[in-house]
Amino acid sequence: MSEKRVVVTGMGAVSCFGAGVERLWQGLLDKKSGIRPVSFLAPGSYRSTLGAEVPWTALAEHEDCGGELQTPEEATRLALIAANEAIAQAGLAGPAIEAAGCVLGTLCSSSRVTAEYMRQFALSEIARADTTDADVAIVSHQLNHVVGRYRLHGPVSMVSTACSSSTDAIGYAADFIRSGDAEIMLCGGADIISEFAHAGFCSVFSITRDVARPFDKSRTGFFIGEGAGMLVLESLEHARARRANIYAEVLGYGLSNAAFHLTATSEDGSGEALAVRRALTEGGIAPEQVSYLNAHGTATHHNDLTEVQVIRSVFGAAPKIAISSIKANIGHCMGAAGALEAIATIKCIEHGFIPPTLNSSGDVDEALNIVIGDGLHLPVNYALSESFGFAGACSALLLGAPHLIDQASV
Amino acid sequence: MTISQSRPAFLTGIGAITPFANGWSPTFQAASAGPIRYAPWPADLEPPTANAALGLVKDYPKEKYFTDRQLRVMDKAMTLASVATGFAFEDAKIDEAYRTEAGDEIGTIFTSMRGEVPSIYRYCSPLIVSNGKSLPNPAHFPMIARNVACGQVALRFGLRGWSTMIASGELSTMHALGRAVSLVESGKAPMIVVAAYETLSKISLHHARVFWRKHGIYDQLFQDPQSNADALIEGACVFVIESEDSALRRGVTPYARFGRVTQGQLQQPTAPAFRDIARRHAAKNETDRIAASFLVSSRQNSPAENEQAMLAALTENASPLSEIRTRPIFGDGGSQTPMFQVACAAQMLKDGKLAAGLLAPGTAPADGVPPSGATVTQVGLLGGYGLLSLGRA
Repeated sequence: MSEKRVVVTGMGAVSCFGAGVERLWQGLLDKKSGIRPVSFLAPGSYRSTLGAEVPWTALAEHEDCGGELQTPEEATRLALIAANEAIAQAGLAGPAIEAAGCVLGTLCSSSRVTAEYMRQFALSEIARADTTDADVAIVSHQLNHVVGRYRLHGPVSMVSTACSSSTDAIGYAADFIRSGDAEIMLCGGADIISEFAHAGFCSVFSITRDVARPFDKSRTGFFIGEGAGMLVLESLEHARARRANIYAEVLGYGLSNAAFHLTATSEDGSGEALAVRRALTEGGIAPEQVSYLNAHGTATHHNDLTEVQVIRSVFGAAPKIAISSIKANIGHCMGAAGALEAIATIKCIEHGFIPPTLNSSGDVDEALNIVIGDGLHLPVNYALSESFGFAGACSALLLGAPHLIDQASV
Repeated sequence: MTISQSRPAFLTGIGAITPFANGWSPTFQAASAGPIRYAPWPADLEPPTANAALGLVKDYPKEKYFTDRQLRVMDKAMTLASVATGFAFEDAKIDEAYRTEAGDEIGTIFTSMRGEVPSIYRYCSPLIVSNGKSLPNPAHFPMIARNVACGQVALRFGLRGWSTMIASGELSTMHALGRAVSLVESGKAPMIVVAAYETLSKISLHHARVFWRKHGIYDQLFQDPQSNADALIEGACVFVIESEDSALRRGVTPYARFGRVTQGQLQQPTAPAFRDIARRHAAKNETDRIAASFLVSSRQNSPAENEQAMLAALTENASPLSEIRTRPIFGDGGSQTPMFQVACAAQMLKDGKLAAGLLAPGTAPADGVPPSGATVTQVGLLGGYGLLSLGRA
């Protein structure tokens, strides 16, 4: 039985630039950054209080969750806004979307509610009858809520592989379509700035005190962002039968565990490279065919050195592949980073243009083609997006341009 | 049972840690002997009922895999998962030499419903109790990542294959097994370690109690002090799942062969909806009907009518099937309890007989007929469902 091919027919995003894929893309084109002091972190409480919050007040007009489905959980609200956009863009409604499945990935979803729950528990403030947040204070609330909002009854699941979560989720969702378990999948993820995570990353000196400079020798770390990225995946046959607009093909994905350290990426990049190679193998694409890599690019000392090793290992010592990171623009959106970066990658394919890596001279390795300055006009046929996370989690996604669908030998 | 796949996946190793036994063979022996008596729920945590019980894991050989210094920076989720993985590797006859050679191709798919909660609370407590004046201990930071046990196992045993952490709540174990089987069947991964584990603490017990009350099942719990069906249990269960080629090459005798997993979300729990699930599951496994000779029911905290409707749909137009109930032994262990459902089914398929102590009343099979296949069911409180079929290897 031949596996079904999987295409992207809808995208939705929320970032520090606001709601909408176009706002995200325009922010990247305008070389904007959402970095600023996080509103709920007291000045001086940490070595850095920088982050990239979403404009919550401006997002209110985009919330259409139905009265009974309102939730106090912020990441879930972001997921719903992005899902609404993705589903609308895909032109799906009613029974067509209800038949879909859903896979989400997150790290910090429900963390603020959980923190309040734990605070009340620690201070013995929870009364016996207080059951308000029991459902919300579990990470799968985001999944349950999105599934309930659209009355989805296909395969549903959730992954939590730290900062590689939503890249993993997109690949997992694609597998449900390839295997014939679903024709349509909603996938991606949403995350918020969690004080727990911020405190932890500050304690290991990962949060920058000025700006993020991915792939620059003077890099000093990242800032946490928040947002959501959602994609509608569909079997090629299903999308064509209803004449849906196709934005990209999901050619393959790969996962691995670096098995090196619980919080640091590896020194030689070999474990991380396995995920990239698996994505290429599944897609049947040679490394030299890939013209663009949306890197994890956190701007930490270790990550960027590791990523250079991964790139050299997979693509050669002086590869032509164009490389960029959008984390200096929107921050490191944790579990949502992979989905937002996948959307940015698809926009690069669509426009034949790669926005620059902000604040970077790209001097971490002069042999690499880090996109800086004013960006790069480049036709992109095949592109990769890679994500790495705590506990060795690695994921990579291989995307193809829609005009190649009838040419691809997959 | 006819389960047809191009590259079938086999269960070749089981690792177990429970409050009453370490290792799969002693665990199954104890389980077959009848109900386990667990400890009372702590009085200072407002037991849901006078009969409420808990199963905590106290002794397991973590020193076999880690030094004292290593153990000081690990939490119980990490050690439980690691030691149970060690048991599973021993059971599957996978030694260090094999892992060194093949570690890049051995995947890790982990799952837990609430295993990270104790460590998140420990990490956060300084911050939340002091209202931001004290900072958390950086050494505890890695343990707030849900996948940290997965990473620890990968690190300890040198496993760099396909790796992920499923965190979808009450159905997460079915999801993890489904994903692992799918990755092996598709040829992407020759071998995957699937681990499910739970740890308990005062705050996770509190949350469970509040959760039960919210969903209106508080008064249904612990009705039968002998059943253990709602006792919260710590522990871990780990499978080694591998392709037929891999199992044959290693010369290992599998417990059972996996069928495919059917999973989804019920929006309306009606009889036709359950019949549709049963029909789709049969179709996925390329049979006219579920030709299992026994069922392993979840008896979870879901509304009992949903569980019964699922079983009725699976047995519709079929001969009466034997039913295995593992909850009275393994309790409500969150993610690892469904793993034990599957493990018991696989062991009975390998043994060629059903364990009398686990049979539901009145469902004993005809004498002399070895079981040919099993279907394991899960119906969750929030509408998720999962079916997994197993055939004899």
